[in-house]
Amino acid sequence: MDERRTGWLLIFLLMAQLLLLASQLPAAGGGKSRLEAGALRTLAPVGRLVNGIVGAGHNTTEWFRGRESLRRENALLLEANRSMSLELLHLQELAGQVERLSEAVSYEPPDRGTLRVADVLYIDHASWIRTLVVFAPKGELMPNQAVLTSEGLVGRVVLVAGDYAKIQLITDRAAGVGAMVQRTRRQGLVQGTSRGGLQLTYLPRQSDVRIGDRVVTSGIDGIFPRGILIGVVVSVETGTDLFQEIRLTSAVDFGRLDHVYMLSRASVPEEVLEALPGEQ
Amino acid sequence: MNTRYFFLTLLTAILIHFAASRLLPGFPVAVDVFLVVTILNALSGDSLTGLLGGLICGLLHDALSGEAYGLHGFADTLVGYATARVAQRLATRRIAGLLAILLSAAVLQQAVLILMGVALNPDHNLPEPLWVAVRVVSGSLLGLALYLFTLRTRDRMAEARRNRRSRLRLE
Repeated sequence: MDERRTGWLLIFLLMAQLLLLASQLPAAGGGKSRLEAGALRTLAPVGRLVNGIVGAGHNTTEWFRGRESLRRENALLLEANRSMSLELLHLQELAGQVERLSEAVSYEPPDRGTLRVADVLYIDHASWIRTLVVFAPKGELMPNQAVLTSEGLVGRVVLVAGDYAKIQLITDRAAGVGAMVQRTRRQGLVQGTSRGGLQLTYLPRQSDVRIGDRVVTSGIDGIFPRGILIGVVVSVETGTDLFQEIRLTSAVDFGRLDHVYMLSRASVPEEVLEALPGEQ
Repeated sequence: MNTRYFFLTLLTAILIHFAASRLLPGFPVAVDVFLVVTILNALSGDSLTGLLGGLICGLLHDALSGEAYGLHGFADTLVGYATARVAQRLATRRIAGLLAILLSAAVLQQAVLILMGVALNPDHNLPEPLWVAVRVVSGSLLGLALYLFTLRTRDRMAEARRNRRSRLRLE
């Protein structure tokens, strides 16, 4: 192909990619393309293979390190298991009480959903940890599914490609999670900041927030159920306008994730979503 | 670089990218292996090969990135084409010239990524200048080392082939 035709091809390809980029703007619906799903489907199996090899190498090294560390770890885990069993008994007793009280006032608690384990294949460190790629065989993955670990909230599914999914982390600036301060039940919105941090917004100046307060999901966004730990307040400053500037540290260390849980639960009915202000 | 070598290099780069992000989390922040493959492919001087190679590398990189899909695709397509056009005019066997091409390509990619990122979203996180510089330098040096290694290996193989032929003639 001569240089002139190549130049035209370049212009065509650049324009096509500009259109692709423009189609992802929030004003245009912010959708994910099939092209991206195809590329993820091509790359993710390679990531799985590399993860398997690296994991096997890591396990072999651990095996050679000796049994002493394993024995110590086992003793610690047994101790933790004992205290957790006691706590479980206490919680079961409390759950029974709540159930009886709920029956008395005909209250039906919301659906808790089911959890499925997914392997983390790739963590996007290059853009300050904003996405993960996970593998969940027969995991019935779907967009907007909540993703969490035993420590707390991770994010939501934004793209599904077969058994693979791309997760938008809560630290992404484009992400927003309905949240509340666990101690006071004051609701706000948790958003990602630059450099992978978290901030709690829309909390009026007069609201009571202290360093060390736990922030959990409020369940008002229709994606994340109520009560999942998001993070802990690390700084509270009086903002320039009506709201406080509150920084959080995430409950999850995103750089060290091996596995996550995908939460499957009944989604909010379409009619309800359509009735929300601003929805069409 | 012919098609087979291109895909082999790309596969190697992907394997390195996955393994490195697992073992050394800072590696993908410091080195863009997809850019290195784009530049190595474009140094052949064929602009069509350069732009198509850049397109493939960029779109694959986008699939793993948290940025908008097509951002790296756009930047790498442009870098692939520009590098190939420059390589047509400059001697790519001189280290100084080669380094200049590689540095320009890496700077162009970072500039396009930042400008496009800001144009698409005014609240876009601007990368730290230090990391931009690290990416530019690491990409250029890695590209230079790999390109020189490829050239030397090719020269040695050609010389070995010539020697074998002359020996056959003598016998």
